[in-house]
Amino acid sequence: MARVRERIRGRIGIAAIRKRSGFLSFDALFSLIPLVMMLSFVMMLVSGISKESLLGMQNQQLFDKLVGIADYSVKAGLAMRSSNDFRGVYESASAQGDFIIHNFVNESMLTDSYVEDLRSASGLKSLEISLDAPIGVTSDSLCIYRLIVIGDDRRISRLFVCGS
Amino acid sequence: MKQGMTMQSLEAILSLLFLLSIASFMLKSFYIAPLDGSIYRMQLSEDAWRVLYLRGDFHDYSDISDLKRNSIENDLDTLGNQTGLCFFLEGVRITNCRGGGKHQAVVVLHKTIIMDASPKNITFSISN
Repeated sequence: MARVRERIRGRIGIAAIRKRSGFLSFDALFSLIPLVMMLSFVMMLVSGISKESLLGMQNQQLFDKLVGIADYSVKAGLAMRSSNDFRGVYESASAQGDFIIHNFVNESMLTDSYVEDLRSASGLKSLEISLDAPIGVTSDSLCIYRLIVIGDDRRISRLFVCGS
Repeated sequence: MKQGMTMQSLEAILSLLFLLSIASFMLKSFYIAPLDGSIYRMQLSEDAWRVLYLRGDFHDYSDISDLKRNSIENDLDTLGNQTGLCFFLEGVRITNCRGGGKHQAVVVLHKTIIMDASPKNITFSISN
């Protein structure tokens, strides 16, 4: 009789443990669902932020490249050269011994090959250098300008540099 | 019962921390850092000064006559129209943004010009 009682007690105990483990599984399941949702949300957020920062870095890099190209163009690449001192405003001497006048652009030096050389050297997808305001610039392009003088009358103009 | 309450408080605190971290992340993501154009602005300011110089505005610069003043003002007007900026030549009090108003200088350049055969310090400032 005592053995039978012991067996019954044992069976009841096992059932109680099973019942408890079932409760625990459900509890864990319902805790896990919001946790997974939150984790996936965080992952999405982090990937979005990293994409934004990457885009910002690329834009800054493009901007710096355009600033460098524009600076090179007004001070060397497209700068007017004079064999004699131009009102004492020469800035540097070239290898040929003539004077380079910064911000005084020689329009004849602005050719397609000049632009293409700069584009390939800088690794840009597209580059446009012009004296007129650019039209039809794509959304991924960035444009900057520098103040210059052109022509014999040294009229004030802008040198636009656009690239993507 | 007491243990259950402690667990609930712990869960609440963890949830709050999580919510705060998400909120700060979202706020940061809304902020997009603008392009750093500080060097470019300085180059543009030097360009403006250089253009005035190349135009001969400071050539034979002696006591500032009306003719010279008009010439510099016209050039500053042109520069202002092309850039949308305000230029100030302090010391000789010439600007393209007349009519008063407070302008916060973005770039200030200290230059020296030859005036009556002697150097004179002049401040060239640019504002938005």
